[in-house]
Amino acid sequence: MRKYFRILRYAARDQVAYLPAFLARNLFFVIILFIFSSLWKVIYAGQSLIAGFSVVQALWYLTFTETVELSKSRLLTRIQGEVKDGSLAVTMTRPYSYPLSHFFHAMGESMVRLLPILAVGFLFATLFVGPLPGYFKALPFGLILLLCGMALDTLWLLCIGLLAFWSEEVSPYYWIIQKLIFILGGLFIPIDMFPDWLSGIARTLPFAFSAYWPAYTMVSFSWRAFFTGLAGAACYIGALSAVAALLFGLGKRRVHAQGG
Amino acid sequence: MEAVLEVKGLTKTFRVREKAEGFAASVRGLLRPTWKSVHAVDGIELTVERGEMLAFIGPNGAGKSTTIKLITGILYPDSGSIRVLGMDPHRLRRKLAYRIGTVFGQKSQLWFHLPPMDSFLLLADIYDMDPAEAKKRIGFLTEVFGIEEYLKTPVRKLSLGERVRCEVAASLLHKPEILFLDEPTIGLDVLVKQSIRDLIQRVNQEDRVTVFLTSHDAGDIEKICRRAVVINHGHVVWDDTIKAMKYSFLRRKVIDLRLEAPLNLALDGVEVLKTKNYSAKLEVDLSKIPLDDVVGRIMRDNKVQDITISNPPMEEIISQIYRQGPGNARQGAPQ
Repeated sequence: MRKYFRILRYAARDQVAYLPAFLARNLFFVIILFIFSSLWKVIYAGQSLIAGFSVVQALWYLTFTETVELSKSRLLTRIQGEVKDGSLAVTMTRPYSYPLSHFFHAMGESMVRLLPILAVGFLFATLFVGPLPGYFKALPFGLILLLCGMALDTLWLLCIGLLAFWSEEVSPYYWIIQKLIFILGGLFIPIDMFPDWLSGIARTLPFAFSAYWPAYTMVSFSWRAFFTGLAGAACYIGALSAVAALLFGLGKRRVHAQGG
Repeated sequence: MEAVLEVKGLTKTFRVREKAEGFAASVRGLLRPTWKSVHAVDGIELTVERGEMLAFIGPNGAGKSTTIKLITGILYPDSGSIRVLGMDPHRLRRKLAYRIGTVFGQKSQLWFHLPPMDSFLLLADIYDMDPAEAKKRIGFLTEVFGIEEYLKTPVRKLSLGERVRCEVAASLLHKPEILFLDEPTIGLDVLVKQSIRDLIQRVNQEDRVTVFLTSHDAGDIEKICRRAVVINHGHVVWDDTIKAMKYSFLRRKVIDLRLEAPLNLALDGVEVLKTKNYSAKLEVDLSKIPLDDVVGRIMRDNKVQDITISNPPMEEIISQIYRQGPGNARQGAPQ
């Protein structure tokens, strides 16, 4: 595994090659936080809790779900490009796993993007709605679930990217998954605010482990929430890893020779 | 001699979807797609011995890339057999990868934003090299390739020539027994090209690395390799030494003349390619007239200041072979 962890480290270093651009990307996040803090304040007018969430929790919840979303790598474009133009063949002449190397590469990118987003989220959420009670206690456990959420997102990108062996354009498939994470995963609104029948289903779907469970653990920490999030994420990471391995196993027989 | 690569009756056909013009045809294509078969590789036979420097050439679309991808285990053959270093590449692709090296001139293996040293360390990990051994090998290659001064400069800040030196060095890190080079000198100036060619030759001579070169650059082929295999339409159309290619394939010579008066010569088998003032360039077809007859007539009927006799350029020889059909295939190299 040493080779894959070095790929992860290099991908992380590669990200900060253009530091100003890297940091400027986070400005968008500040805008999102500002809009949602204004929105939540209007919705919460006269109410201290909605579905068990205070206005402070609702905005901080968004900072964590958005952390996973905004730290996402460009894995899909990369894999789709390599499969389409045949350049993945070049990497296949080396003794490593193509899906694993891409997974670690993307995780390295996402992990380094995560840090400024967390810092910006901390700063501006505190500024807009005040500090989150119990933040530092929940942080180590929330971070573990955030990493699991990032791994799940990366695996979605990997699986859909590998569909390029069969389909010329795969971004529409990811668009569907992304919207499911937005809605059923509780990216903008905590799943607890859904009708009971829907929240029960949404909590068990893989999309919730990308957004809802890490953020919920952070804003409303309990051991139960943490272990539910961890167990569910582990199951879906295992399942999506198996799908990715299967797709690559089938797809590599379709590698097309380009050029020559 | 020990064969490191044996290919017998290799074939590979791709199914390519055909798309007709126009919107209606596109809709029809969705419902009832039409396919055509492309025989990318069609019965290739090839043996390469340890330490050989082989040019594997052909026009665009001839099947070179497909063949290399079959040999390295990336593609699955439809029929035929391939043995590389005693292994079946598509069954043991990853095991084989430890014993071969690749340089693709148009696809870098170095991390763009990081210094070459980092890529070397990553490749050492990829090839499961012992860290101490890797460090020693990097030191050796750094010295041989003269890359010490830019080992810690991000790759994006290197010139193309510096980068290619690092690419070739990187491909040799794990001491491969066969080195596949795909257009290694593309885009380089003449001096850098020459230095890359010298380095490849040195590696071949000192470590007995078998070199399998694909290039459209006649200079690469002529200066690096001793044998050429030309493929076209998926078939081998030439397999012999470069020397044989130069001296036997085209029975032609080129004569450059500087005269004191306009050229006076009309002979069957001699074509005047170019005249300017009192200079002339002639091409002699040796199958129609011996060279000494031509030179004798020139000297007798003209006042010659200077005369140069040369072979046609390598590009011309290669393009002549490309034009030749598979029916005229020549296989003179050891099989």
